[in-house]
Amino acid sequence: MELLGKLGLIVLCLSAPVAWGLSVEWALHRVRTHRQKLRARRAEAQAVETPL
Amino acid sequence: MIPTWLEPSGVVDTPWMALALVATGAGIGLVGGLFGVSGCFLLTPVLAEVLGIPYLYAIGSASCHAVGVAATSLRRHLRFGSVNYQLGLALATGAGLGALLGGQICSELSQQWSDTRYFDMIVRITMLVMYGLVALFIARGNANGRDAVLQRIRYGFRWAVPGVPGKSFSVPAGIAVSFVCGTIVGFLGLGGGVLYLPLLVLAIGATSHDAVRVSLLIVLCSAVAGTISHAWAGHVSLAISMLLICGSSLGVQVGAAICHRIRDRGVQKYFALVVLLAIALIAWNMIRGV
Repeated sequence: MELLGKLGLIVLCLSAPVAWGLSVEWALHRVRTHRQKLRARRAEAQAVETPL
Repeated sequence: MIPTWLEPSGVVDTPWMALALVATGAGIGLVGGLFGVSGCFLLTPVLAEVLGIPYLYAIGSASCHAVGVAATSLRRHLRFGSVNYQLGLALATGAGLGALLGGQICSELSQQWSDTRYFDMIVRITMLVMYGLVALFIARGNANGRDAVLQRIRYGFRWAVPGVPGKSFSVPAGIAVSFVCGTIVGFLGLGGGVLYLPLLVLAIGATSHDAVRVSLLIVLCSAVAGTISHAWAGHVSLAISMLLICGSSLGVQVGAAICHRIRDRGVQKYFALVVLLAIALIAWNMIRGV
């Protein structure tokens, strides 16, 4: 039982920081991509509105 | 109230302490992002000397924190190019085994004395000597223009130095040095970039561009091995590690953004000042007898 507890703790110690770090990284990546898309869409709209 | 298996040190008993740990993580992340390192070489002394966490738990928790930081950084770097896996895994094997041994030495030494002051003193002295040597090694560099140390060693089989055509280095000697570095990393709960980068650039002679990714792979493997060793002995506080990584994952983004803007002004030279700050912090508390 003690051995299982130790193994569980090791798995948790290795996976929790990695999972947290990667999720934050993924969330920030999504935010950046979304902002880029918005910027591109805005630029496209401006190009349509501006007469040649 | 945090359960003991999650927080064995018993230090995180107030919300203020939790906030202080998040802020510390953010600060360490900021420094790490600014200088392109994990910042774990600063973390253990700050946790122990500033926040008063016993060295034994500060080392274990910093090691666990390093796993998250290294995995995230490696993931980010892999987006921009590949890693030399052959070299990385060979050195990571040495470093990983060293980190297991380092963690074991740490646990054994902590059980030698009932008074933790002796153990703290050994850790502080090791840190001072190691940081001093690293600063000296970086300052000295390879100014004489000769081949790197491991290129000159003729023992055992050889591999080509990544990014440098026509140069090769002794692989067994490289693994032996990474084993020694790993032992120090496991003993002090560092990320290890502060040791592995000079090893790759100055001792093997790799270009810094190739060295960064290989170094991150080695850091990840040695941090995993160090965490296993410390967690097995029950010296990892998962609560401390997670609070730290909450702060550092955001701090590193700010640091990297600042670095992007001020890199041209020579921000790298301030890295030595940060190492000196860590040395001063440990030395000051040693002199005061805290």
